[in-house]
Amino acid sequence: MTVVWFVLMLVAVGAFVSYPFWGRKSGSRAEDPEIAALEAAREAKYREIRDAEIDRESGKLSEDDFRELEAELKRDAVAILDRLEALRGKES
Amino acid sequence: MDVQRKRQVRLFVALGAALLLATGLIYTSFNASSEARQPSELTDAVPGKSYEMFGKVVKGSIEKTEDGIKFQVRDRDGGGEALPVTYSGVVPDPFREGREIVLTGTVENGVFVGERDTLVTKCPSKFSEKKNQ
Amino acid sequence: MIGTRGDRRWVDASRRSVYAFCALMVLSVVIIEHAFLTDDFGFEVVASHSSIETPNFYKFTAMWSSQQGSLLLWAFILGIVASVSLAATRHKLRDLVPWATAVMMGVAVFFTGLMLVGGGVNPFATLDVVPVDGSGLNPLLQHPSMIIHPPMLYIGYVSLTVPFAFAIGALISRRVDAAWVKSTRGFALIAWTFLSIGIILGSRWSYTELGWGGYWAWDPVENASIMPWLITTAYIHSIMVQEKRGMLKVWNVSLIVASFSLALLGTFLVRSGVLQSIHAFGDSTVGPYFLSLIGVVVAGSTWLIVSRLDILRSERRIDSLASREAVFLINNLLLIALCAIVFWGTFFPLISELFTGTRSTLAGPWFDRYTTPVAVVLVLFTGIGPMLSWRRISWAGAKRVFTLPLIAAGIALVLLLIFTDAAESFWALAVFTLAAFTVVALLQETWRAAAARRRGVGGSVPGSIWAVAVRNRRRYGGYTVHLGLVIVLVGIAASSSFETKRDVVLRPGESARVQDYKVTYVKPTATRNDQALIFGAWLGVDRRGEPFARLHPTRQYHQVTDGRPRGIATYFDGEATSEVGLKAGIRSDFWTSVEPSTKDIQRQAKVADARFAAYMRQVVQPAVRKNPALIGPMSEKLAEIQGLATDKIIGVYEEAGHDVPVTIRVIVSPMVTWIWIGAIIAILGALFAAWPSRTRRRPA
Repeated sequence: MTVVWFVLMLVAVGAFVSYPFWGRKSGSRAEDPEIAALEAAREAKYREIRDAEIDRESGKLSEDDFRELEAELKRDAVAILDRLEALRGKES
Repeated sequence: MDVQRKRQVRLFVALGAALLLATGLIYTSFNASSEARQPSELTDAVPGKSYEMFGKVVKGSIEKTEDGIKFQVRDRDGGGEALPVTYSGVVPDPFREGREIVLTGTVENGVFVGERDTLVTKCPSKFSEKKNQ
Repeated sequence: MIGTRGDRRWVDASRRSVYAFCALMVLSVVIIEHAFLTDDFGFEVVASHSSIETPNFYKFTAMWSSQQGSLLLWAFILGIVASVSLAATRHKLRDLVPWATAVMMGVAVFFTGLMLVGGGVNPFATLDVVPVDGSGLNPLLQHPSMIIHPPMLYIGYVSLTVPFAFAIGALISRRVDAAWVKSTRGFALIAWTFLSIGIILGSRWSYTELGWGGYWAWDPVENASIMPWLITTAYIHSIMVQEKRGMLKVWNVSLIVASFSLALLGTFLVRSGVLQSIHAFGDSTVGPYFLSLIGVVVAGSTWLIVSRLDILRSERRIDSLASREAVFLINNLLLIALCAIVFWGTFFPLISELFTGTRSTLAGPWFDRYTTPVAVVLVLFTGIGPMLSWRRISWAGAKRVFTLPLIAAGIALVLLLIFTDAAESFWALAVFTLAAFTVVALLQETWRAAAARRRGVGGSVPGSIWAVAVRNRRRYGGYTVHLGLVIVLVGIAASSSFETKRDVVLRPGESARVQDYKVTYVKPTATRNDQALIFGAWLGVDRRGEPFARLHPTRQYHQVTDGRPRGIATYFDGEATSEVGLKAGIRSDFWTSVEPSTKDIQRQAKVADARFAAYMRQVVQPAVRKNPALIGPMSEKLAEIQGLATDKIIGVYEEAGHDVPVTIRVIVSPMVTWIWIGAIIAILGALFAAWPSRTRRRPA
């Protein structure tokens, strides 16, 4: 009796796992790791800018320091956005 | 100092601190530790030196004394002479004859005098999460 | 792995096989639990860890009190977290997910393989002779905290597999930027949170249920859970630096490898006889397998990291020591130092045996002595970290930020010195002072940010604090965790440095003084339930003349359940547990336990049992042999008689003439409750930080 259950489970698992090979629905699309990395970097950069703003408001960063930092961070962000555009342009 | 130099200095300071910590740790641990011995190994014990004694409580040997208990301990495998023990302090819940115990103390006149509150009783069953002190 | 070369179908198939594994694990757990709940003693694990009388709730939880069941639990949780992590990343991280899957399933193969081949640890093993009743669950485990504690720890340990696997995947596929960190941060936080819950539950259980009144003993198994906790804490902070500044990549992969290895080590220590511990049991067979796994993990990961050092080099350098990055780096070092101390002390018996041939052990006081300074410095840094900004802070900025907390610390120090005797303990004084510094620093940060918002957008004070917090969950969740932890450390410092412990021997009616409390042994109590005889003492506690509490500590003697014939005296051969008489308070706890004197009772019980046995031999058995139909009604009657006899015997304990002294242990511990409160705050903070936020601000 247990042998029957075992065989049934084996078949069920086998079918489920191999579905991508014979099923009709399309599987996952993977995103380009380059784009993913850039998007992660972009989010991190936005967070950095926001943190800098909070730091300025808490008084840790003086106005001058803040302006300098913000400018640098925004330059970095723009660079990342440009590279993203370029890559996306290549894809389409 | 330029940046490179600064970084080197920091690295050396960090490594130096780590080395200091490690040396301190090693030195003090060997000094502060107690040797773990079974009753049969305590026949040549240095009086006054602290040992961590482990073994099995001899059946029928547990007695209450004025400020604690006294009992006898044998090696884990049951062989060897029984070592008389006196102890005062917390007696853990699972403590009873036939169980394995660990006790820190010194040997005085052939009797193992346990340090207060250092009696530990091991659980008998194969795998159960228990804790005691 | 074939999927890494582009054919997505293999990757999808591998992900599905993880889902299938998860489903099979769920099925296994359901089968075993069903066996427990239906008293199917054909299964060896059920027969040895449960019994007919065990309450249903504990039948369900008994599964993980067993070696086999806990391995199954590990695999089960792994199935779930692996499936969740793969489902969440099914469209991402295409290069490294297949490797991560392989690693996670490799670990799964280890655990399932162990259960099948490891020797005596198969949860589905059956017994040839089905016993009528099982051995029952150890009474010490029949307590809510003790039952939840293992699964909490396991969720913590197992969740670390995910960031670890993804780290390995990142290293193999050479995609070491922040993407893998981001996708697995949630799991690291979950691991940290559950480890914290598990550790604090264990401590609380020890304090409230065991007869020694402490919450941490530096036992190897306790240490085994705190080591991964420390490293995971370091990891969570360190990945922030990688995300923001691209630095500390080598640190992060190393930390997660260490964390995961320590989690495996923790799982291993509980079940091997390698170290003398109250938890360690015999020499079980699975030890060597675990050690091999840990060896493979450490060696393999180290090789991987070293071979990828070139791409792990960070893009930037630390600009200045007075920056958050530098503080996080120091933080890493402090936590690692703390972990190293604990590790050294825990494994010292083995180390000393290796180098000197004799096994030597280090006891609690050694650990206290060397972990305390590091912990105190950490209290300071939990305040400094939030105060600094990324990159560097200007001198003027520093002045603005440090002034108030420093003043607060100074005031606290002066007040403590004048009004309390805190100065008697240097370290406690240090903790309190630094705690004042840190708490004020954290409050200041929050206040200023909220004030800035009010300047801009208006709103009430609480409202803006909430608004700011919700928009920066990680930051303010983190601050809350810091606050909670500082409170915990304050509680620990106070309760360990200033507790009063006394053992008093009292007869009914007598009292003793402890600090400004008077404890009177009012009267003895004796009752019983189905499983145990319960002896206790009513204690009246007065404080400075005013009634303070009535406490009822007890000792329970559980009946033997290993199939031996049960008499009355056998209650004293089974397990004994303590019920603590505790009055907890904000300022201090009053803790009592009792050691009843049961010599008389035991003697009477033995006499009764002997008479009973004689009666059985001479009267009952011959009668039953002649007329077997009598068995049923006779057994009932005998049980009834035995019950009555038991009641009579234990009644002796309460009789007025029973003027026997008992030992009462009294501990007055200041600020213990703060430990639990602080822990709850910290855990809530972690949950707040981990909660996904809805809003996403995009600066223009």
